[in-house]
Amino acid sequence: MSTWIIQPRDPLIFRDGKPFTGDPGGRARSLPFPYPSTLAGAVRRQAGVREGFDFNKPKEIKPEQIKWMKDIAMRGPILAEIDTDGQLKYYFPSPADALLVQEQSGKVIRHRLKPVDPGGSVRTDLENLKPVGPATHVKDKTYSEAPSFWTWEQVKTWLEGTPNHDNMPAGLGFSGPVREQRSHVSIQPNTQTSVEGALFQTSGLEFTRVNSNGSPLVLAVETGIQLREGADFLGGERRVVRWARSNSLLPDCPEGVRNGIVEKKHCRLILATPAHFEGGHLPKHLGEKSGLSVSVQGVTLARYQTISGWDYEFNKPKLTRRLVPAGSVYFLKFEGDPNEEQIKKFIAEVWLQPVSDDEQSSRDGFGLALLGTWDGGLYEMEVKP
Amino acid sequence: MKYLFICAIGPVQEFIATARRSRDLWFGSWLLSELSKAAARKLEEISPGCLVFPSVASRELLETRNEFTAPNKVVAILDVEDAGGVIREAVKERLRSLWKDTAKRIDHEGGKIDEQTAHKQIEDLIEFYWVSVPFDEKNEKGYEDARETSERVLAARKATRNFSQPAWSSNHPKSSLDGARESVIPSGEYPERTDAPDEKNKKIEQLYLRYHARRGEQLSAVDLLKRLGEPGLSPRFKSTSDMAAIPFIEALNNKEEGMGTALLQEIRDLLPDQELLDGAEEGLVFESRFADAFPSQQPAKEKLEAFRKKVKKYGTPNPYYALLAADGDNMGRFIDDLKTADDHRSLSKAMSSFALAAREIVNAKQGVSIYSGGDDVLAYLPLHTVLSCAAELHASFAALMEGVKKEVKYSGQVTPTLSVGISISHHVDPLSEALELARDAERLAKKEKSKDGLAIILRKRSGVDREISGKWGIFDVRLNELVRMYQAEAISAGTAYELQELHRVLSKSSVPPEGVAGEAVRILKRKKEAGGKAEIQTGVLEQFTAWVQNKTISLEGLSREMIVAGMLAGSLETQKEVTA
Repeated sequence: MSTWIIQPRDPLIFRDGKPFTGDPGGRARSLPFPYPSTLAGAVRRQAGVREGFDFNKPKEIKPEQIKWMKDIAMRGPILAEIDTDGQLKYYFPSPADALLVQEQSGKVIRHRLKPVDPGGSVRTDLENLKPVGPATHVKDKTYSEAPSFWTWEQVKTWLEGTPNHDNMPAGLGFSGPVREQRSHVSIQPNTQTSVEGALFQTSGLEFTRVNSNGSPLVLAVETGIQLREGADFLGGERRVVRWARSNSLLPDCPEGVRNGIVEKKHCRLILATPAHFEGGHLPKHLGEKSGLSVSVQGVTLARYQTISGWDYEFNKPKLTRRLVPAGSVYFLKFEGDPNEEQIKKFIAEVWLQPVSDDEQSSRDGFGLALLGTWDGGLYEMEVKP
Repeated sequence: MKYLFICAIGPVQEFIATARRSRDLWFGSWLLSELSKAAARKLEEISPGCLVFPSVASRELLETRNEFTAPNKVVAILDVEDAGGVIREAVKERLRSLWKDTAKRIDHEGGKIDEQTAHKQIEDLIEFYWVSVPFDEKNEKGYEDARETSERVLAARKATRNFSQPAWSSNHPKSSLDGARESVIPSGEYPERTDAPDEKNKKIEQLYLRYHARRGEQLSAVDLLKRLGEPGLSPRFKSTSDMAAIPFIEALNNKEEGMGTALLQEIRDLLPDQELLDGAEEGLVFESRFADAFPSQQPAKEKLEAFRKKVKKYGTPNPYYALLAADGDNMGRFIDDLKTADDHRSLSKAMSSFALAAREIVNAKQGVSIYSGGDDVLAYLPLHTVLSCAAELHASFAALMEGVKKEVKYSGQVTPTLSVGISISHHVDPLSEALELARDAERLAKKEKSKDGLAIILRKRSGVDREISGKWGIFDVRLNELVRMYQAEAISAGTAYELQELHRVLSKSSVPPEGVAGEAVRILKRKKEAGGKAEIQTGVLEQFTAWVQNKTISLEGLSREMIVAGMLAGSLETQKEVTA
């Protein structure tokens, strides 16, 4: 397994499912971050090219060759920055169990969300799961400039648990690649002038930065297959990127988190990339590989993301599926009183490994998970009806 | 024992964010309101008089054909604890009946959609969350505590955002509106490259007649619902292109009675089939809208030239229009300060009155009300009336709040006010973008100290966004003054750009502010009125000097305000300068 970095030179466009036609006023707007399948596709195509597959003649690629490509697994993409010493500084999507609000005074407070016990007589339409909220009733408005990516250092502290609320720390994170908008025209070939009213817009993600230290943003992926360094295309509109090998490894599960999970026999699972579960928001096979019985007590997600994409194998649009977004948090309980061994095995099998229900989605990189502590306790409602 | 019941219907963002045409946006808001009304009606049926939000003066406002817009959160006091399932069913039933009508309409025109997939997409559409909290009505603090608990639990429940995988996925192309669902229109309905031109035109016409699909748009069942649902209620309401053109037509009619109207008729006479107009009226002065009315959107060369000659004779219409988003300030705190259900009902009734009044104000200003419910208003308007519309909304809201405070004997510190955001966009820009911009403006308005602000963001295709904002009572007064000056053609549009250039050059220098102000006044003295003949009037010059020397407005800010004021003035002269 080695880590590879993709350094975009151009702003990248990762399209949503909307058809982009010649309709004036049409827009191709990028998703704010690429889905793992886009990167998996890029890795597999590179591998295929190395093997001599000719992608200009797709019908000549044999089924077993396609299967070979689809079997290649990739972990990522993880947003990162190249440090002055050449090491990668990782960023992870902001966890959904952190709520940032802004008080009247302007101060920004960070609340830790946990499953809530609403009291026996309160009814909701939610079945089998506990609602998830802050320790007290928070009336302030959500902080409009909450960063969508946190630094690994900040995430690590958050995974280790504790205060129910604190002041938003300085240097928490940032909002990832900036959106850049371009207007395009349609040129008439005979007059070489633009067609009246035919204005299109594309909106891409800018990874190069002119900031304090000017270090570029990169996408990091991990894969076992041999790749080629150098220029390549990624995403829509054939935008150019550069592939390079990196010595950095993805972070390990912090010792404090490991001990906390073993002790309390409960944990939080936070997605680092979007996940695909057959049941929608609930995973089906969590813990099966390590023989643990895991039950989900509560969940906090941002709204599901929709993905379809293009099937190059059969040359048609793929089916629409829904993903649990990165940053979503699952509050898990280990049933049946497992021992330390079993829990450590679970941690090793889940930490920054894909937890999606089906094998192909996992190989595509969907559902990489981080783990954090949770003591299994619920917030009580202060005001009892 | 009583039960405080709150339900929230969604997904709100989805309906509003994926709009492509003004009708999509209007319908999204209308649909949510319809579903909320269905919930409210069912609750009234179970327990008459139980509604707290929305509380209406008369039950008929909750009927489906009534203009009243219900907010998507409904609150009631019930005698039973488990009404949730019944209310959800009432909401789903209303949606089903709306879809049934749409499907019938498509069938009537000869359309053949994938019914199974469509049905599943509709069933899957609605989000419905509810909470029920018991309380003892004899306890003085019972209602208050229950309300706090229910708000908290509802927020926590919403955070789960549970969902299931779609049951309707396939390899079919995806919706052109949001890419999130498969289209249900059969591929055979679309023109192929190998079709003869006649066949192509026929298919394009049919796509429009049967599905209201344009230019190869792929539409899901949800999109079809947006396009075809309830035609009786939105008879050809005006588009954003119409909004942009209204000041031009009016200016022509002012110059000479009936001149603008005559121009429109001349243009209509050039069209092949008036049926395909899709409601375009004033908007026909724009070439893109004129071309839209032809099959396959390609008018013959002679027609296009005739069109251009006709319009050019009169001038150049300004292609920009305004989108207004208004929202009450401090409403949450005000609601929390009120402790009884009856006080909440009084507030809710006032909010319902405001919603109706707002709609009337927008209509009177020749705009289109997309959403008017509670303390939230969304409308699009022509540039020359948007400012006065905003002012009337602000005043109407203030008057109603005064009324509420007297009725509930309020002794607290909070006064809800109305912050207004306005975006000015090109009529061809995607509506969802104009909407985002209007929301940005609304947020900017709320950044004023103690809120109560007005903010305008101008997005011209050629440059960066220009933002101006300030408090009601000061900023709008100045802006109105500037608009009057432009309308009276007392200053030329170029003045603003010269002042901007002055700021750019001198701001990085060591020239003190008084020096910069003096230089600005010197420039103004040199400028002529619009049209370049008369000297700039003394009164105007004095006013400018006062503004320029006032430390609370920067020269750069003033020049931006002037640029925006020029757009809002709507005179033929400024329109020409704008598009030059």
